[in-house]
Amino acid sequence: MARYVVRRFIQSIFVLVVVLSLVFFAGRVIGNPAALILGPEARAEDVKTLEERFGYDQPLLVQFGRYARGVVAGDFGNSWWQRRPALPMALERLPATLNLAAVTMLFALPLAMILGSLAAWKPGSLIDKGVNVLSLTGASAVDFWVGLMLILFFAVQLRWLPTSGSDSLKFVILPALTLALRPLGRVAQVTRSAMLEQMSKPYIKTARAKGIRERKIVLGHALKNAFIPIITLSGDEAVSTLNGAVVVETVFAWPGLGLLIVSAVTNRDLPLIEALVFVVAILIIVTNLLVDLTYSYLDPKVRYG
Amino acid sequence: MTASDRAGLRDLEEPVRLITARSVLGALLRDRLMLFPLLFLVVLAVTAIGADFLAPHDPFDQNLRLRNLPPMTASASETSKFPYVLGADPLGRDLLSRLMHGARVSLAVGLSSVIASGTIGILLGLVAGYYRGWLDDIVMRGVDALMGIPGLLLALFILYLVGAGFWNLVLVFALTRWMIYTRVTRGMTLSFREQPFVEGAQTIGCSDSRIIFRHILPNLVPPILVLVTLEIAIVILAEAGLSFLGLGIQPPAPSWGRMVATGRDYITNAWWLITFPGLAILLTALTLNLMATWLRTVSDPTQRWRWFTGRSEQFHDPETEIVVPRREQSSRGSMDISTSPPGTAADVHHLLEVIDLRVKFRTPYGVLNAVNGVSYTLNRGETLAILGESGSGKTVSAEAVMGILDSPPAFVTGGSVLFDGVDLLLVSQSRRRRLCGEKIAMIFQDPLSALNPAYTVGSQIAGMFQEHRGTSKREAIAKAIELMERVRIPSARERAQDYPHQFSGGMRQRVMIASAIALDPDVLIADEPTTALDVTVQAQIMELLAELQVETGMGLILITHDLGVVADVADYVAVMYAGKIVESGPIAEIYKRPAHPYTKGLLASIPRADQKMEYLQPISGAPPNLQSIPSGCPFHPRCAFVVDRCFVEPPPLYKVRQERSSSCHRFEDVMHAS
Amino acid sequence: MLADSNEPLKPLTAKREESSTEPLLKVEDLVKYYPLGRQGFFGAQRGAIKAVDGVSFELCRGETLGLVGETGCGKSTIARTLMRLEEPTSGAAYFKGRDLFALSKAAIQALRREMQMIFQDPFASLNPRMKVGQIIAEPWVVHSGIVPKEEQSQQVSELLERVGLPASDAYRFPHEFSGGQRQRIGIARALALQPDVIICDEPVSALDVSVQAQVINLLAELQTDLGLAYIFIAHDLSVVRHISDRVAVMHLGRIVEIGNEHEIYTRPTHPYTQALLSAVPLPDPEGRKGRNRIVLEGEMPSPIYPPSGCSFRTRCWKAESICSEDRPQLADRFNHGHPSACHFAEPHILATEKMAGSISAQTIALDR
Repeated sequence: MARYVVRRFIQSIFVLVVVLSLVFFAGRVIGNPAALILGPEARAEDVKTLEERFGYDQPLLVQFGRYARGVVAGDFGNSWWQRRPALPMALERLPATLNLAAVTMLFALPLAMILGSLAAWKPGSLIDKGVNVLSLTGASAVDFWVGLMLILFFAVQLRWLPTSGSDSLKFVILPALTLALRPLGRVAQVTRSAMLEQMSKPYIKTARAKGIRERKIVLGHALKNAFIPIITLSGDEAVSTLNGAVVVETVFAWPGLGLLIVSAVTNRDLPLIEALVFVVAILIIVTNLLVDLTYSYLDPKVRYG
Repeated sequence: MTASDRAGLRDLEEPVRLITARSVLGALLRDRLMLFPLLFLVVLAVTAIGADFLAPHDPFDQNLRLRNLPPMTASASETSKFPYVLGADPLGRDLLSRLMHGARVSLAVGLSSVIASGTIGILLGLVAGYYRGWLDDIVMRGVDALMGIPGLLLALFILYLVGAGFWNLVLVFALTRWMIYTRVTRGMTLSFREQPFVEGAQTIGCSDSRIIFRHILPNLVPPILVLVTLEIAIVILAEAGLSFLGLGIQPPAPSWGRMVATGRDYITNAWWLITFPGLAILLTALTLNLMATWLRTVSDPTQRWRWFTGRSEQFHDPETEIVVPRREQSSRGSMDISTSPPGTAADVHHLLEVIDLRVKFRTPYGVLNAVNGVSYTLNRGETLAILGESGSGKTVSAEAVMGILDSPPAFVTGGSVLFDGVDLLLVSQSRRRRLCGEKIAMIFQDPLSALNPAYTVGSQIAGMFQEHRGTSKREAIAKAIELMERVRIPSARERAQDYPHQFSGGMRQRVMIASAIALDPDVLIADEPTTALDVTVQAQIMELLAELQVETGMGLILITHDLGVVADVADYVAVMYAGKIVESGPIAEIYKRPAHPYTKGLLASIPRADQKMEYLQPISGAPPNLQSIPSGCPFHPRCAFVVDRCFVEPPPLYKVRQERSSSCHRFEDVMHAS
Repeated sequence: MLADSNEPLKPLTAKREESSTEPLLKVEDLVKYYPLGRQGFFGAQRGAIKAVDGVSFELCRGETLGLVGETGCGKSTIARTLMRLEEPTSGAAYFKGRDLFALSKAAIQALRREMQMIFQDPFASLNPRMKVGQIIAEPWVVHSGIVPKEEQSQQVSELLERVGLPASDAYRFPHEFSGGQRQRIGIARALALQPDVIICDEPVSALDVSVQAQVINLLAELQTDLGLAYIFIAHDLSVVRHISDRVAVMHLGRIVEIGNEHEIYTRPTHPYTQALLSAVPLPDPEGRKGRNRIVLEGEMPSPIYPPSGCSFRTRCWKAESICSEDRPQLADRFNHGHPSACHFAEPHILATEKMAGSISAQTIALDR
């Protein structure tokens, strides 16, 4: 198993290198960074001056060598927008996003698994229908709008909670709730169908024929096998919270990575974008590694080849 | 599971239906639940197409006097006599008109993006799945890498490079969504590629493109349709999100997401500005998702049950869903026409006595009569074989005895199962459960799927002691190892730590047997225990079962379709057809002189390894559909002895002689015909 | 029939134009290994599953060769390589003198017309989205010029009737048929190109017992009428005996014994054949006490790491040291006309044939 983890880790490094190189080349071959900063109305000589100033007129490979050395040293250059080193800017925002994502997942995952299991236990019951509705809502959730409606209701009308910011625990409730909708629905749905699938497997029949108690069959036999797809999905959902974070952090002015990404794109700040890509890529790799570890622990076929 | 059993299951549970456009549309119109979403989609489409004519105002027509006008207040403006039903935006433009034009933008982005990404994705998926090899490797590496990146972030990066705008958005979605189609299409193509009908097309010389587009693609249509519907919803949501962030559709073009962003600045004093566009997005996405869910349940056979069970009250039928309490022995017939099992005398005490057992399957397509009055007895040390083809009800009746039917869809609708004089159908659930495993045990056809893949075999056997005896885990494992040695699994101590997938088929069945005999049951039900095994392994397992039976004196019920296996081990045989026992009695007599045309036909139709036969005498026709079992004698359409009476009068179980019975009006003629 | 079609369809009767003794199909040293995945990205090859490991046999016009063996013995792989659904690792197969494995893709397509296949699973072997008529006529669409379009529906009707189905079934979809009927449709499709050889891969094992005989009889009838040759692959020794003229017994990718049906079933000389035959349950409850059954010990070895020497030696009661050192070759040791691959081959007259003087296999097994 240790070999498996090491192999996955090496693969991750490889993926990271590929992603960073792709971003580098795409940023310079498809788009012209200098022209993008100055906008479509810029004069050609202004673009040229800027290119020379940032070294974008040099051969691509020379630029890449400089970029690669910078990445290894943790230096992505200065942000054009804020005129300070880009990587620390991105890293400053990391805790806020991790905080938000953690609260969201800690709330959504257990609840979703419980709801999904209950739905699978009694198909057709009220809980089952509730889970169906929940998953439909989750998939259709217009997160920015839901966030605004929550603000409208709880902050503007009822004045129970603050509209935006991140000063205390009270501030995390509304954004986390908004962000939780999708993983809640999806994980509940997948838990339900994974449980239903396991419950229809022949080994459940065997367990019943052995006279094992129903509770033990559901929680011990079925859930243990259903965990494999559930964990895989939960990992995907954890990564996808970054999607939601972009929108939700904008709505609630939550000072996280998402908000910074939007600013970086609107300000056409290439060094900052590159630094953000680096941070996000590492986040994703760590999450996937965690999922793989759990997965290989749960599935004997992975563990013992 | 062998192919024949899959076929049997299909007969029993799933009337195979072809999903065509017409059938889906028909089902859609019939399904009242789907009426609202359907209606909404139609309205949305009409609005989007005809926005120019239908919108009451020009969506770009600004009127600063009407800034942030609340809904349903002001009447007409200079250019139009229609009221501002949903109010006006900060520039005094009619919100409703902008919503209607926004529908056009949303749908246009959704459809164009899905067409672009779908075409790329499906083609790549087909090619990768069909040709496999390095092409597949490259495509799938790319898919995996892209799927790992949160889509919105990728979209933002591309938008940074190419800038905003309608076609750039379509480009963004084409580039960020094709992987889903590729992954799904490739997966299905891979599995279809191995299907015999595709290989059949290869063997008659079809070209690759003909196979891909004529044989594989049409079969992928239902799941792709589901995917496309889901994807339209996803793209519309993503477009709204990007426009909200100011990176999607650019003003002044009306876009729902942009409209919400505008309303955000006025959230404290003009609630309608965010409420209505948001609702429009939500309803559109919800409708599409509902549609996709519905399509999936309709087109995927494995999902159809769920849709059905989700609305089971429609099929509620108290008469058949409740176990019918047994009337006291009333099913026993008169002297010569006996419905009681062979050899039953009122005072004889049997180990297991099944009387007039009935099981129905309630499916969305009607009721399947799986078991229609089955009676038999089993005594200590005896082997009773239940012989039948797929769909004859042999497995279902055994599962009903065991109390492990999947319910719904299966329901025991009558009869009794007397174990040691106690009716198992009437005792409490917990008592029944305790009897299972302890007194009656069962082993199954496919030992791999019958064992839990997530537990070691040792702990699965040990579970019997822990559950029923409260033995400590350590002691239970020690006993499990003893049992594994008893069923002759080599190096049992080490192998107890292994998982089922690490064993061969024969060894897995030994594990199953070990856990079945753990608590010295009185009855062992073996459901096709060797069908999935090779003939030399079959011999080993049958020998083991016979030995164990001699040692423990348990009664054995052997369920099989193999006349050879029956002849080898059974003392008594009960032949089942269409959910009924058509003939039963001692094995030697029945094989020598069958008293039912079906048994006779079976014996004449099978080839033998010990003699070369010139010609096999087949039974004509095919086993009946359980939804519509023939009237009278269910075997009459295939019977060589059929007379008029057989069409109308269901034959009772005639007593042929001591211990023998046959359900044929003409059993004497059958016995005497050579 | 159009004059310009490159080979007009002959009426459905026997092909007896050439009556040479030259075998129709001659397979020489066929090998098929499935390589296992690599260990890691740059790692070494992890070996291969030796599915077929040097198989040779001949098939004559109009005869049936049965291939029997247990799961994983390679019998289906032979069918798939002969139909070029899989590429062989090495070896040759001469069909009417031309090496099947050396032919170009175009030449293969033409050859498809003369070799056809029937599959095991009748529920999966017909495209669910094509009507029966389209399924049967598809070969003529692919190979243009055999049956002109306007005659196709007539020919489909004839084929359907030939396999015992009403002509009106051409307009129905496969899911409307039972397993036995579907298998008939599969046979009709195979017949559409008027092949000389049909490879039947477990054609009846997915069918209900009461329906098997119908299909077996149909296959036999077609053989008599059309002069077809069959390679009949099955695990059911009873069915194989019934339909075959000659039988090859396979074990772990090799033929261990081959000969005519009577020789193999009454005088098997290879211990594996003897064990197989004695393990087959017979529908004869009275004879069960008198039967001597050889119950093999141990398990089938892995096709990835087959035992050295004779692959059966790990389960064989006769095995001695030579068996692990020297792989026995197929040889006709008793001039019975049927070679077997065992150092200690001896004719063993099965007790089931109720002949006096048989050696009890059980005693042999116990003596060891």
